[in-house]
Amino acid sequence: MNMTQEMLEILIGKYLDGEITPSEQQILQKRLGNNPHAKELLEQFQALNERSCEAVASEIIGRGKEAEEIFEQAWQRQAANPFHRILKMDGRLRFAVGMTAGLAIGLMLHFVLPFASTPQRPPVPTDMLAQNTDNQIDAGQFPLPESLTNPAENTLRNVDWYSFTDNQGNQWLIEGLRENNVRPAAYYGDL
Amino acid sequence: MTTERRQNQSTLVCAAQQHDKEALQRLLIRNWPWLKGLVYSIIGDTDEVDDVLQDICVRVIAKIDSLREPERFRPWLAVLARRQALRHRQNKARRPGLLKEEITELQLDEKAPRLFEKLEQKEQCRQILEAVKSLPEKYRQVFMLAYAGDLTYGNIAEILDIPITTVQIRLVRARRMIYDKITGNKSSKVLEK
Repeated sequence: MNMTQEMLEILIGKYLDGEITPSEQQILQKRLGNNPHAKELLEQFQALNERSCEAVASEIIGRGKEAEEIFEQAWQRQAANPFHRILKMDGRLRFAVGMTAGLAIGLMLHFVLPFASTPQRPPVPTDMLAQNTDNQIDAGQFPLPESLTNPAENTLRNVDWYSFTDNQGNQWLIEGLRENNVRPAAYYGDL
Repeated sequence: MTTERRQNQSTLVCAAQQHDKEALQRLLIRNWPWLKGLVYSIIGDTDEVDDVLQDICVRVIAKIDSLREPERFRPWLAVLARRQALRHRQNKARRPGLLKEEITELQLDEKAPRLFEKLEQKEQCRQILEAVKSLPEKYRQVFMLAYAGDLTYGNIAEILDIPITTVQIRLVRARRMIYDKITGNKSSKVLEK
């Protein structure tokens, strides 16, 4: 099959599909008049075209569900999808939902992140005791914390505790803050 | 497609984008025959065409908002349909037992000088469909759009986003390949490029 043959088939195809122009039709008619092979080819392709229409119609067009039914099922399916419902919300409503969700996430992060980001310190042994007889601390200069005047109230602090006995035999309990500050925590006399 | 029809279609698309169910339904039904043909040309199984079409409808309902140019609805729909059909075909291929698509080899008398001379009409149709299934996909798509959708070359070119001359040539070659397959003519020089 050379190019001329394909050109002939294109013209026949266009003729069968109703797409042929008047000038092309003239060329085709001339070919059909001169060439018996072209005429036979036209007949063959015409038969093939008719059978193809019937075959496709019987296979596709006349089978299966109606378009309306399929569309309706698809519509129901899509309506049942909750994500779709969010997407189909009114613009303002969608904005409000988005703002609420953003606020909730922001608040959650605000309260959760400080706890999560606090560095872990090594645990302080509860029985950490030290005696330092050189320290002379005047407990009277410092007001006692309220938690100590009211023992029922429990508070948690990150402190180290030290106890020692001074020259007069008084026992002292010292609260040592982590920042190297030392201040008296309590004085009970006979501790 | 004429300008009037195109405008009408664009109007329907705009209405569908405003969640007008009836407009969307009309839009799809208007394009239903070629859509069905396109899906069939990809999956090649009539029994599964409806399932894929329903999936396509779901996608269209969900995605119609994203269509920026209403006048390009057909090519957009064709791309969406092709993707959905290919996905279906891939999923089907993964399922065991359904992997092989058996295409019956046609037992034809090579001496038969004329087409359809000894064949019954039903048998002829079956043979044509088998021959269509054996076509390379790009030829099969054009063939199915031409015959199922009853579309002009211009419509097919618009849907597949290819030049009209390409449509003409593919259709001619598709016919030639089907003809050769049915008549048992193996000397055809029409080959897939």
